[in-house]
Amino acid sequence: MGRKLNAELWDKMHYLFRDFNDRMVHLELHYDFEIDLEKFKTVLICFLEKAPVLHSRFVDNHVSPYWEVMPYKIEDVLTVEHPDDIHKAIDGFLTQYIPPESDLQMKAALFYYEGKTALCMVENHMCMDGGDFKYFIKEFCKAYSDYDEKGISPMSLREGSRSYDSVYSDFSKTQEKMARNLYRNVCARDKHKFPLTESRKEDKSFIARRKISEDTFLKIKQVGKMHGATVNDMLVAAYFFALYELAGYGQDESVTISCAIDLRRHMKDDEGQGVTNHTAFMQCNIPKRGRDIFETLQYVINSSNRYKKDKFMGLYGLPLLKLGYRLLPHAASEEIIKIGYSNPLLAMSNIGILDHLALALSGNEPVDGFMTGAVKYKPYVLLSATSMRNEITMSMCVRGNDEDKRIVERFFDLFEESIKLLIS
Amino acid sequence: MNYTDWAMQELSSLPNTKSAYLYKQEVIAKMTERANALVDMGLKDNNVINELLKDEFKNIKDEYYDAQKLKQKKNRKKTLGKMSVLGIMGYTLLLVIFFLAVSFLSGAWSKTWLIMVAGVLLPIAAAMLVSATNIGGKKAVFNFASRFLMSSAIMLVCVVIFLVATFLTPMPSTWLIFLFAVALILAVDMAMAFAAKQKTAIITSLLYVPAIASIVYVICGLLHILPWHPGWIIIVLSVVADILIAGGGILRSAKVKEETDEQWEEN
Repeated sequence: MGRKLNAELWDKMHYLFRDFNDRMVHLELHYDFEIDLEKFKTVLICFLEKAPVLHSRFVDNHVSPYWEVMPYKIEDVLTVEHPDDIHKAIDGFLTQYIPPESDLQMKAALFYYEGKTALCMVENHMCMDGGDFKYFIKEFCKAYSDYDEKGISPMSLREGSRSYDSVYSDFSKTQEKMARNLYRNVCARDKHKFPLTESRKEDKSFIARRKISEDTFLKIKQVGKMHGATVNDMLVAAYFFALYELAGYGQDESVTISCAIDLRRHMKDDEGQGVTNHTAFMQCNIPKRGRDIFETLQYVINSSNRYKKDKFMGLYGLPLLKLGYRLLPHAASEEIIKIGYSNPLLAMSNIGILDHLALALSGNEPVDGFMTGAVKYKPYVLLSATSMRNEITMSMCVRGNDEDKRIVERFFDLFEESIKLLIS
Repeated sequence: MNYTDWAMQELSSLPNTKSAYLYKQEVIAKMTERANALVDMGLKDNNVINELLKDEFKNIKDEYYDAQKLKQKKNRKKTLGKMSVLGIMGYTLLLVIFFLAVSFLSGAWSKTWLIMVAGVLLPIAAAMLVSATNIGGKKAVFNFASRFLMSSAIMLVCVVIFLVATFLTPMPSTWLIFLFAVALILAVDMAMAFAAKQKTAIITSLLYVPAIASIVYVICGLLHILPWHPGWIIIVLSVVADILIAGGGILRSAKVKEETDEQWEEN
C-alpha cells in the first residue's frame, strides 16, 4: 500500500462538486519551437515527485477519505504526438476527464506541429486551483530553462502544507480567532440560469473560447480607470449585460454572478505551502440591469467594493465547512453539506495574467495560451478569463451539444458587443 | 557526489554502534530502492536522481537520533507496562489478603465485602480520571472518550460512597448520592469545557447551570436543608446566572471584534 496523504478540506469539497462539474483545470500554451522531450520529461517527473498528490488516487473512505500515493510511468502522464489536425488533438486532450480514483491526477501533452509545440496540461481541481496551477506552470518553465541552460536540477517546486487554514497564518491571534468564528452560509441562492438546453445522454464536453484583442484590452483598462473599475469589474459588467440579453431576464430582475476570489490575498508569502486550493466565491449582485451598461457597471463596482472593504473577504463559510466535515463521518458530512450548499448557476473566474516572460522555455516565450476552469454540467456555467501579451481569452467549458455551442458562441458575440459599448 | 557517498558522509558522525551501522545499511537500501523507482518512472539523468534523493533524504542524520529517542521511549513504555502488570497483581493479592484478614478477625462478612468492592472500583475510577486528562491533552473535553471516562469515574466513586453510606451508616435517602453524581458530572463537564477554551463552553453552561440548580433544589428539599418554598429561588438565580454568562460572552466577543478592527486599522 502506498503512502497516505491527508484529504484536505478543499479536496473533499471539490470531490463533492462531482455533481456539478468534471473538476478538471485546463492549460494550453503554444511555443514557436520544438520542446526538448527528454528534458521536459525530467522536469515533469521531478515536479510530480515534489507534489505527490498529483500521482495519488483519492480513496473515498466513508469515515475519513485520503490520498494514496501511487507509482507511475512518465508515459502514463505525458502524451507525445505529431497530429495532422492540431486543434482536434488539443481539444481531444483538453476535454478528457481524470477520475479522482485513478493513479494520476495530472496529464500533460506535447503536440509537435510545423516546427512548433503546443503544451497542454489537465489537472484535477481537487489537487490545486488556478492560482497554484499558474504558479506550477511558471515554476515548471523556470525549472526547464534552468535545467536546459545551466544544468540545475528541477526541484524548485515548493512543498508543504495543503491545509485550508494556511489562510489564517499571517493573521494576529485576535484576527485569527475572529476569522475562525465566521460561521456563515455564503452560497448563492439566485435561480437565474444560463439558457442552455436540457441535459442529454449524448452531450459531450467542449471548450468555447473568444479572444479580446490587445487594443480592446488596453481600452478596457483605460475606461475602467475613468469609472473607478477594475478590469474584472468591466468583464463582469459585460457578462451581466450579455446575459440579460441572451437569457431574456426582466430588466428589473436582480441577478447574481459568483466570482472566484483568491484567498492567498490574506497570506503574505507562500513559504512552506504545498500546491493546493485557496479559492472562495464572492457574490456579485446587481439589483437590476440598469438603463445602460454604465449603470450595470456602477452596480458591479458597488457590489465588489462591498466585498473589498471586508477584511475577511472570502473567509466566511470556511469554519462552517470545517465543522461540517469534523463532526460526522465523511459520508454523512457530505449529505449534510449538500443540504446547505447551493452551487452557483452563474460563475466567473478571472485567473489573471499568464506572464509570457515567466512562461518562457529556454528563452522561447509562448506565443499564445490560456487557462480555464472545469467543464460544468448544465445548467451551471463558469466563464473564465486569462490574459497573455495583453490579449484576454474568455472561455467557457460546457458538457453539451451543438445547440449549446451555438448558444455559448451567441453569448460571446453579445459579450463582445457589451465590451464595445463599454469602451465606445 | 552520488547518493551513496553523500549518505555515508552525512552519517559519518554517527556513533560506532551496531544500531548506527544497521541504520546506515537501511538508509542506503531505501535510497537505492527509491533510485530504481525513479528510473522505472522514466528519469534518466543520474545527476537529477542524485539531487532528488539528497533532497528527499536530507534529514537522515536527525532521523537517526529521533528514531533512537523513540526506541528509548518505547522501551521505557514496555518496562512501565510490565511493572504495571506486576503492580496490579501485587495489589490484588494484598487486597485479598487484607479482605480475608479483616473478615476472619472481625467475623463481619456481611460488611467486609465492601473492602473488595471499594478496592476494585476506586483504582478503576482513578485510572479513568488519569486517562481522561491524558486523552487529547488540553482539548480533552472535546473528546467524547475523555468526557465519558470522567463521567464514569465520578459515577464509580459515587457508587462506592453509596454502598459505604448504605451499609455502614444510618444515613437516610442515600439514593440521593446518585442525583448528586449527575449534578457533579454536569459541573465537571462544564468546567472542562471552559478549561479547554471550547467554543461551545458558554452554550454548555447555559444548558447545565439550570439543570444543576434544579438537582440541587431537589436534593436540598428532600433533605430538608432548604424549604421547598422559597428554595425554588435557586432555579431563578440559575437563570440570572445564565443571563450574566451570556452577557459576558457577548461582551467578550464585542471586545475581540473591537481589537481586531483596531489591529486591522494599524496594519
